[in-house]
Amino acid sequence: MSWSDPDVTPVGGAPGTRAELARPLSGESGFPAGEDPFGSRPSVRRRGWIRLVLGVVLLVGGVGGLAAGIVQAVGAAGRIEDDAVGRGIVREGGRGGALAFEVPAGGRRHYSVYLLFEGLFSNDDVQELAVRDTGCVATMPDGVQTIFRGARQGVAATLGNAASVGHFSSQPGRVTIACAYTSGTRSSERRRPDAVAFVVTPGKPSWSDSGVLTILGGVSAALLGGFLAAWGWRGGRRVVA
Amino acid sequence: MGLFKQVVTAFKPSNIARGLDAARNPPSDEQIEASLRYLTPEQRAAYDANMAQVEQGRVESQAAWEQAKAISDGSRVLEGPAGRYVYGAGVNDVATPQELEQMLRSEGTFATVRAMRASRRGEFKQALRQSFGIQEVKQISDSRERIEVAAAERAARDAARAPYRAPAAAEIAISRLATRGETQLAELLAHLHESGLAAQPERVFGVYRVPDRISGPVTPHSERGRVVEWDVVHDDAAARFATADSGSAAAGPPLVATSFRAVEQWVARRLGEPSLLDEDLALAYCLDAGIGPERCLGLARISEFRQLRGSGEAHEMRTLVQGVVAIHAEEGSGAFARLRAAAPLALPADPAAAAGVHVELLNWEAVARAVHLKVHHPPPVPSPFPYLPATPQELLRAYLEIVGVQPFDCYSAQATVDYPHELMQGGFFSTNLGPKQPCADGVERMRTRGCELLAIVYRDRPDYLAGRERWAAYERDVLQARLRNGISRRPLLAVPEEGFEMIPKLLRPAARAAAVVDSLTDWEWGMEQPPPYRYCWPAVDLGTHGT
Repeated sequence: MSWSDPDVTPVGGAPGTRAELARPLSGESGFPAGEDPFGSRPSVRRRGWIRLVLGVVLLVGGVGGLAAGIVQAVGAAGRIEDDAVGRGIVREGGRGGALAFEVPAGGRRHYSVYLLFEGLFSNDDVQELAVRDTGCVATMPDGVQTIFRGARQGVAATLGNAASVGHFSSQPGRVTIACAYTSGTRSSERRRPDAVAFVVTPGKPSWSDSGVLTILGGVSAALLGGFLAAWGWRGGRRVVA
Repeated sequence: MGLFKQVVTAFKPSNIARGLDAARNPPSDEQIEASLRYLTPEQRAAYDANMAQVEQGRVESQAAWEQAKAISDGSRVLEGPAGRYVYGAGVNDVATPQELEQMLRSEGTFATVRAMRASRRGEFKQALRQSFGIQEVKQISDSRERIEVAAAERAARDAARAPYRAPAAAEIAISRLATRGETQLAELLAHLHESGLAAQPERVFGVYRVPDRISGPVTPHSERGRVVEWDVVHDDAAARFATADSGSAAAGPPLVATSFRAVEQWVARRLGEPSLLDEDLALAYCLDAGIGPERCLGLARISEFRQLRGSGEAHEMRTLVQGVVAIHAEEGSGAFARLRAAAPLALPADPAAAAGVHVELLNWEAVARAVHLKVHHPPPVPSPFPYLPATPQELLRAYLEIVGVQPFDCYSAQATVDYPHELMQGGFFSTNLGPKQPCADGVERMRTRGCELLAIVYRDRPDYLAGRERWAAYERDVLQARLRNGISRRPLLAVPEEGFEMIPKLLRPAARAAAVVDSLTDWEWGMEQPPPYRYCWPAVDLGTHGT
């Protein structure tokens, strides 16, 4: 479409390029400084070096934090299986496997139960159903029983192919733990896996150990740094007269 | 039984035939007069009494018609075909009471009713088409043919305007430059220097921000980074002078844009007193500083076309006047500081007239409703009403040429906006999108046209009185319009209505509380509220309660 208005003649020139060409005032304009609400005075863009440097630092730091968080998360996922003190199978209707392990001498220790999906069930919904329907009974050395369910966890963690079901603490001695599908709806019974492995690993499920916080912090710092760096690079307008 | 007898008599076939015949062929005055001779004195007296009542009804009917005509003449902007399109048939489109009576006598009742119905034929279909934003005439898609047809229409309009043109009208040129919203004024001043116009303010009619929103759908909330165009209206000879002698032109003095913000209380006004035009305040400054029109490059409204801040995505873009600037060479009178110290100023109700300056406001919005219904598209070709100007710039040029305004008398010539008008295309199923159209920098972008009115401010002379008479004749005979109508010129200050006036006083606190809750749920809390009146709000007798 070409210019077709016979009354108006375009004078060309790229917008934004004339702002620095306006002639500076001699200081006799008669109105007080600062009375220029609509920006009529000549101005130039000046880079914001402090914003730029701070932005680059945050960007680099954020990317580093992101990488560290990913490494931390991979390590934490690997430790779940490497440090496991026992392994069993969760099945339908209480036919789950029971396992026993020895809590070393000393004070009370925390243990967590994770379901291992082994990459066979990558569907998040199915994994959630399996965790939700799983319940465990831990029998302590003194005979006291602790019952916990995947559906009611204070802090749930999913690292790689491992999803937490719950945790318990025990005094030194022999502990027996049994896990099975203890609840469910008709739909979840149909969709969840028939059998899924579980492990008992020392420690409590935690966001801080899993690297999630490091990843979130890194991403936030990188975004903020990118914004600051772009703002500093573009700069702000400064009146030159 | 008497009534039953009368009904039976009336429905006799012979009587119906006689009645229909009388409606088709009304008796002449001579026939009526002849039949009156056979009346008894009592019947004649009754007849005369009836005729006296008829005469009184005729006088009342005439008075009512004249009153309706006066109201129509004072409010309706467009007459003729465009007026019928925009508003439907008006008082001037139907017969006067005398004409109706004459028609009844000569052609009978049926023919008169038929003629009255014919005058309104097609209105429903037209209204339906308007509701769906359908153009009145089929548009040409071929670009070459569009240019040819638009040029032919324009030539016809120029020919119609020629007899009204002032003998010594200036050769008018309108130059358009593309700027960024953030630096638009500085870029405008730089252009005035570059072009040499800064050195020849006596050759400049005025400058104005082009009242179009460019790339509206991209950033509806802000224009800072978008292209904003400015028009410079000047004597065509000025451009030739600048081109021939650019060295001396560039030596013009530094320009300043003395600025007044609309939200500041510059002028003292009481409730019930007239508010002021943006140009009134800038003009008062020029007069105080001794800046005549020959030294002024323009009084220009500063407007933004965007959504109200805090209104969310659901709200339409609006035309918001944020202030006014007076563009002139740097000067040292200290007038601005003086006015600032004296504010709020006691300006007269019509400060321009008191200073011998004429302010003309012409309604473009009504014209645009007829000739440019789809605001996101280019002007239609062919025009639905080719006798009307296609753009506000064409109308601006016509006014300056016909009145014969000279640039050295002109403070301001603008196509601009006034109130927070929603930039919305009429019709169902319309969007805020349109084809890309050329901008002043040669790049094509989406464009939404929002011009509401023309504002022309000039030092008055006797020549211009004659020029305005020519303009009035041109408006009446060619444009078939009254372009001064439909503009809220210095509206009287009043406390803005809250919308609770119809609710009993006892229930109003509850209604206000409900409105606050509504505003919270609609995410309107903290929404930007443009001042109801610019430069003079709150009213001085409201104190701080009106803020």
